[in-house]
Amino acid sequence: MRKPMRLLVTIVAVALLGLIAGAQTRQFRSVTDEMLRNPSAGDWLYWRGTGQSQGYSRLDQINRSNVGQLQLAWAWEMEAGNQQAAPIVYDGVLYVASPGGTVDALDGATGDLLWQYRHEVEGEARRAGSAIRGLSIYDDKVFLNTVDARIVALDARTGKVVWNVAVADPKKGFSYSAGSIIARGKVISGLQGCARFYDDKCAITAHDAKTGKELWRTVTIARPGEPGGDTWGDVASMFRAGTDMWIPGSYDPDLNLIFWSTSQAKPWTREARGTDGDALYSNSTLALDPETGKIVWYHQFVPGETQDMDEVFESVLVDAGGRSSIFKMGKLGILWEIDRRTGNFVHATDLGYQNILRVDPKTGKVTYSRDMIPKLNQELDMCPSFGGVKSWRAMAYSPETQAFYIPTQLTCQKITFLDVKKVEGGGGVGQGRRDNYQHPVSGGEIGEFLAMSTSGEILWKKRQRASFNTAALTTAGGLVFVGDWNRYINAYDVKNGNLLWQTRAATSAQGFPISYAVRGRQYIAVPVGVGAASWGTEIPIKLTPELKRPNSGNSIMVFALPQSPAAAPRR
Amino acid sequence: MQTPWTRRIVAAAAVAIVFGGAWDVARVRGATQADAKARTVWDGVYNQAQAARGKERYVKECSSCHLADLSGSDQAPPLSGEPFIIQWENRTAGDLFTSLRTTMPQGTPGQLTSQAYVEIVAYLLQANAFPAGSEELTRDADLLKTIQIVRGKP
Repeated sequence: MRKPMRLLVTIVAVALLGLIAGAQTRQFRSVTDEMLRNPSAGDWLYWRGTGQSQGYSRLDQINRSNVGQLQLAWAWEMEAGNQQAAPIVYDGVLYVASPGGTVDALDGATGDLLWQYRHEVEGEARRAGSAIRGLSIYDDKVFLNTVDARIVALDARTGKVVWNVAVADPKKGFSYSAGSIIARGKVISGLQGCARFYDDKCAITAHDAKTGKELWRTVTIARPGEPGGDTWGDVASMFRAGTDMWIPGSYDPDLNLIFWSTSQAKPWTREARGTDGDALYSNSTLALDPETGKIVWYHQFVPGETQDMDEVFESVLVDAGGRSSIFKMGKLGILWEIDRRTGNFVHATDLGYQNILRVDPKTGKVTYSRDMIPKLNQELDMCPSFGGVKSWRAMAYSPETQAFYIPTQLTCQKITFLDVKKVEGGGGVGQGRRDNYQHPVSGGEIGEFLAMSTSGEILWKKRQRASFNTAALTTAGGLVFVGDWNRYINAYDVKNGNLLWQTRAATSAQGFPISYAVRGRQYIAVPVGVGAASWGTEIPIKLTPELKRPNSGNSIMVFALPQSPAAAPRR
Repeated sequence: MQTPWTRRIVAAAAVAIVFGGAWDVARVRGATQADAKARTVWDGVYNQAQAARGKERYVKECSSCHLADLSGSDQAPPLSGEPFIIQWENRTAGDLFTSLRTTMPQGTPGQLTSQAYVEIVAYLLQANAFPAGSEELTRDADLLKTIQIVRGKP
């Protein structure tokens, strides 16, 4: 072969190889701060869509007039365990974490697996199969928080581990079930499993997205001598426990503040804790500076909370009535509005299903009702049960109606709380005998899904026998999606609650539904599965025993409109 | 002195032994015990070998949430000491068995065999200091319901 010919062959060969390689490795554009701030409508980059955590999609291809034609586009089986999946989508790829920490990257249009990462827990398989709520994405990495209290950065193109760092000691009970959120190149995470008595405490941390280096750590328990340290009375530092953060936070890039909420103090009761102080920073929303982790403000919803009534849930950032607000609802079923610049109380609306305390709608001050502060070893009859009026099933916001769509469950319980021994490594919540029953107002219909305006008016509500069992998803198509324990997935009109579409899954709808688009086609993805604490297990199994679901099986189901009438499947 | 009634039971048991095989034997024996006197967990209702198998299963299936020492976590209640007894006193071994079989392990309830669930019940009884006996805890859900869980030795 002559030299010029050989050169030409080489050039062609290299070019062909490049084409093949290009086809195999998707062109990947790095996720930037600008994309996180102003995401494409087709992406779902945070666990609840955006940093505002509204659970709202700007896509409107699927809307009131055509949602009735929605059909299955693809489905994918996930790993066994407690299903509460919160997928994210970037540039046509859906990333979802299975219980226990397997991450699948799936082609959002076809459901083809692009890569899989399987997290392995060293030594004891502690909490394999426990819930993972959410992933985050930044630059060219996907971030997984693991059951053994590690953060793992995966190459978004290949699933290969880029870095993997320990944040806390899983042997002391520390764990993650909440995913991280991204703020200015930092991976922000909240620990849980903080019920044991150690000097190590629950904390919010920031890690450098590039290297995994820990940049700051803000402990969420006020220790003796620190600001707020006197809110635990004279309880020694080691025995100040709890404030677990089992739900991810929110981020406002304009104010440059992270909002993260904490759960109750541990042990649960004042008497077992040994103080009736406020126990900061339990049951609070904290506003943090992402650069330093400094607490800019905090707002504690129920000071000295004393019966497992979490306020840890999603912080929904909404600008309402000229205010920059945060809206929240916890187990008590009280819709709270606070100013997200200052943390000042704005408004509260009690749904009226709890019998524990009264909240002053003007000041937000709570007053425990007579005899509702538990005494150890004495049965207390309380509403709601530990399952809460509202739990991890996040509410969604619709800008069209300026209302929240809230999945709730109507139960009560007879409960006896116990003491907890004050020894290093001991601890726990102090739960004794628990017997759940249907809330007297439910008439046996323990599932309620309601639309409530930002000012607290109920627009409409649906009651049914089965528990609502997913987060809500609102869309610009005028729709709200929610699923139930009895395997139904529903789409309602946000304005009036009219049921516009329904299908039935192989098992309970369970997790965080999302919407995204690939090449101009809108999809609705709904996790289905089993497990999920008392709300998803003992309560429905024992209080609605005639409703059945399979014993196992987790998956994600993805729906879309028929591409063309000809493409629609035949009967 | 045998009454005609006890003679009839003995005769029935003999027939069962001859014609019915081991399954019927266990059933009749259990039934006569249950008829004779309601038992409690203080009566040696499981044996050590069964509890040892239950412990192995517990470590594999339950300890990730309830922990190896049964002390529980923020995800799952403790299964020994006061938290266990207060939850289960004045209920039956059958209630405990049914609760485990229908709700546990939380991510895959009902995935174990009924033998495995009974072994775990035996282990929980042992871990809560109820005495072992010579015979295994039965797998028969109806018979399990005749075994009362009571706090102190009656």
